[in-house]
Amino acid sequence: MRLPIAARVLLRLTDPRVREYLAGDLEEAFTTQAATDGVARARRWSVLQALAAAVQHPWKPVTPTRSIGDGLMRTFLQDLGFGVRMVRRQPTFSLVVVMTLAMAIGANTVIFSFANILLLRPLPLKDERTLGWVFAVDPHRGGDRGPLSIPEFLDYRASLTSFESIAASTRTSVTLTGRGDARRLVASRVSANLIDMWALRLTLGGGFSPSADTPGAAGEVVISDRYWRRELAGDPAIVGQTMMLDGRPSTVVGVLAPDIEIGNLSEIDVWTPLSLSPDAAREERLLRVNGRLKPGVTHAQAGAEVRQVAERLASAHPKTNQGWTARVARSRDAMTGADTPVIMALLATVVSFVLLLACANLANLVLSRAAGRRRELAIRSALGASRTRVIRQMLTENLVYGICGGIAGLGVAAGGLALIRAVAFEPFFAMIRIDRNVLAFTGLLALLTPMLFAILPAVQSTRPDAGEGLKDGGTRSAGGVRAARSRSVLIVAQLGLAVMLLVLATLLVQALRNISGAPTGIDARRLLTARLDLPAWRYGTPAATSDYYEQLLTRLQSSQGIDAAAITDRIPMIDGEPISEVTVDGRAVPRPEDRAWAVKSTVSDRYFAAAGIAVVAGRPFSPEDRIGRPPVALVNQEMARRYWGSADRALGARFSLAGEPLQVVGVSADTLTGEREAANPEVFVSSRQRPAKSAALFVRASNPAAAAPVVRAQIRALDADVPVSGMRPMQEALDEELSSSHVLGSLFVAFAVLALVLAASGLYAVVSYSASQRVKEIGVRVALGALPSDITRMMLRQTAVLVAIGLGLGLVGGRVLAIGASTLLYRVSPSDPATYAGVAVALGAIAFLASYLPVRRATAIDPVSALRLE
Amino acid sequence: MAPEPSLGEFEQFVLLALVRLGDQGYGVSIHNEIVRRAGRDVTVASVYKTLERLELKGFAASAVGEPTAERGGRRKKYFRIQPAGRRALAHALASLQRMTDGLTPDLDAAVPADPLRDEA
Repeated sequence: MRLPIAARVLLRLTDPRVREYLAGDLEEAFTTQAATDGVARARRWSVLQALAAAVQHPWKPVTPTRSIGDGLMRTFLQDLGFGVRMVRRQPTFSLVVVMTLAMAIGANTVIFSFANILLLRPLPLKDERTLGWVFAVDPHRGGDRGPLSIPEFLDYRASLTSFESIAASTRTSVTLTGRGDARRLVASRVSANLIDMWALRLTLGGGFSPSADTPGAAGEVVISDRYWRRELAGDPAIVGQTMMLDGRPSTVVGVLAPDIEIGNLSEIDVWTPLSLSPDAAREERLLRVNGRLKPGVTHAQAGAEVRQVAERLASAHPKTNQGWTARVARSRDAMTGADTPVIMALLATVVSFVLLLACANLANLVLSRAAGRRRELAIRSALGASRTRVIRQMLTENLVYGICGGIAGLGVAAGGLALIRAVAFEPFFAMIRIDRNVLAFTGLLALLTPMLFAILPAVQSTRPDAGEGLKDGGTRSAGGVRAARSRSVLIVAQLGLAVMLLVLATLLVQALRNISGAPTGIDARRLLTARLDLPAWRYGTPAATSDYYEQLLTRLQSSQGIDAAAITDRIPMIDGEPISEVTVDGRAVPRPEDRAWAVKSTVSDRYFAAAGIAVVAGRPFSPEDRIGRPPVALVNQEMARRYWGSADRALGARFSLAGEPLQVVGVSADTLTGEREAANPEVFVSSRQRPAKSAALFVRASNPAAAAPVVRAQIRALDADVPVSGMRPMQEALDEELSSSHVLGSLFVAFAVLALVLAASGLYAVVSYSASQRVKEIGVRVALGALPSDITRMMLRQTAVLVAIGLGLGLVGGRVLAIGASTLLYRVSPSDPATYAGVAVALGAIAFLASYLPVRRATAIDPVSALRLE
Repeated sequence: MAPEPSLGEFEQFVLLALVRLGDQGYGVSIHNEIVRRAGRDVTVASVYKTLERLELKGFAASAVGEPTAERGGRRKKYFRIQPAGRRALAHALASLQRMTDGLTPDLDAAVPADPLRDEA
């Protein structure tokens, strides 16, 4: 039976002269133990044994003479061995150092693992560098990552010369029938060339035919590896079979390799071709468009051409495209959100501060240590060690701490990432793992941090006046003026960094509280939501759709525990905010950007009652607003204010929405946008007058969770072929939306607290050290009649100066950091005075405590014994 | 070398194990003897450390055996006690005997301390 891998690795580290016998013994004993005590115990035992072997018989060159390695390597190994002995001789000190390093390196590793995915790890697309993403730039809301419509995509594809090929995709869902219960699948609808352009690998089949995306083409589908394995049992004969998608037969033409299944791409069950009809609605912008640049064409050149085409489109189709422009982005930019660079820069700043703080703390510790080792160092140099040799020895010793801290830091990072994965919903976090890049980064930190925290003490304590150190008791006050000054600088820096992080974390926490507590305008606590997808082949006509919803809502309204039920084609704050052009009768439009626009929702009669949105003027929809009657609309207060001046003036007003005339019959209260910003102008039209195929169900109940089974049963009873998905209380959906923000917020808080603890313990250590060095002086003062309170005051005054400087610098630095973060500070001013005052008071109090405790201990000393101390 | 170098407790254990094992003394068997008889949870590595020291002092001698399959094709290193080792052991045990003579009743109540590490 072979030893566990960990034991074998550890045995590689042992002295080659005993390795064979030791390893043989362990393997023999392991085999016997496994038979008697069970394998698990035997494994644990053998690893511990191997660890002991690595410690007690550390690796040595077989012939420790000049023949192996040069002098540098030999002394390095000597110093390393000495370092290991030092670590073992002072367990408490070592534990503090390793823990501090572990926290700091762990924090940096976590953040690096984020950056690794965002910046370093290759995307599963071929040559992502030569891909360019074409985004629409929205004149109304200023978004610059907008999708394009099908006709726009076709126009761009026909006119752009910078791209070899250009493809489009959009996320949607399809209903699968004919294989057991009706199921809703996550689908990516793509142009036929996308799979080739991204060079995605197919494990089965040949992919889409080139004309699969032309209107009227026969249905084809490519399935994901995950779906194929999980739902189709990895059927090798799947290619050529037919799946009923949205009631339409689609031939399976391929299975994608699993390489593509990362992040939110991993949610896709099936890939189906778009139907690229030039007659599709030009304002319906849903496609994410990207293309392969021709060799030698830069993103900037492609961007210039795309802008020209956008200008041409704007003049050719003023109704839908006036003011719109477009840009070309690189893959990395396209994959991340607009805030991501800011968040990453902040996180990186914060964790590097934590690392600096930890190093400052350790430098202080090592400095105090070094003062105690002056004698040893003096003897070394007296015996002929050069200064560089001694410095090298001290650095190598601390390398042992760096390596231990790095290993422990990896553990901290792994734990932290597991925690993050457990609480975050975003697929981004599921992608994070400790891979080769992360290991390399952590290794680098483990090697570099000892240089950071050991170089100053090493240089400091080996200054040429070290002859002093040979004299017995030659400690002088607090290890010399220079060392004291270094310590003061370190303390000021530490306090400053901690204050900066505290300011930032406090502001971010307030922003998070504001964003989760912001009144959304919807009563989310008593609202249950679900999505319904009516199969098109059964509910092909508006009348059939209308009829179905009518029946379902009637059933639900009369069910127990349900106060109101409604449907909407858009869940506010969760779904996207597609905007439509609005023409208000009699309103002047001097410039293109003054054109009116609104977010449109199609809702049923009791929508406002179900969502808990007040109707502030006029009336909600009624059963009278049906097909054949004059088309009516409700608008929200924001729209009424913007285009008519007030709710009262809006009532009865006429306008047209994407060319269709409507009359305002009511004005509703505002709801926030998905970004929790002030409301967009919104138009609500009646689902009786414009039935929607897919819709979300809104059910108001005092206990939404309890109402869920009732709702499910009613839907099933009415038509079991209608798939329901995503049934959950609205509050839960909103919380989930914010979960990533909470994760990031908690990270900032955790780092700030870590920084505070490091700074406070650093201050404590420095004050205790200087107090202990001054025991004799204190004794003299007390003997000469100084009161303990006088001494306390004197010593605290000296620290107070340092604290004040650190605090001042930190508050200024914190403001700089906060301004950098201002896009994240939701409804919080980056210079919120209460935050700065609060941080100053909190840090002052902690600093006072951290210095008062050691000072009090020092003043409590009996002057006689203090004087006798030598 | 001093005429009668003193032996640490663990060194005594290892030498006693070698006496018991005769020509079958090697890492695992010595380790097992000490674990079984002395109830000490020691590591194989520390057994080797001590054997190295004993060999250096001339109290034990080693010989390399044949590779066996149960050890993954690795060889055993056998250890045997040497005359000098026997003398030192006898001396140590006799000293202990003399020190404890007549003390048995008092010692019964004492809880044995646990010097897991041998000092050297």
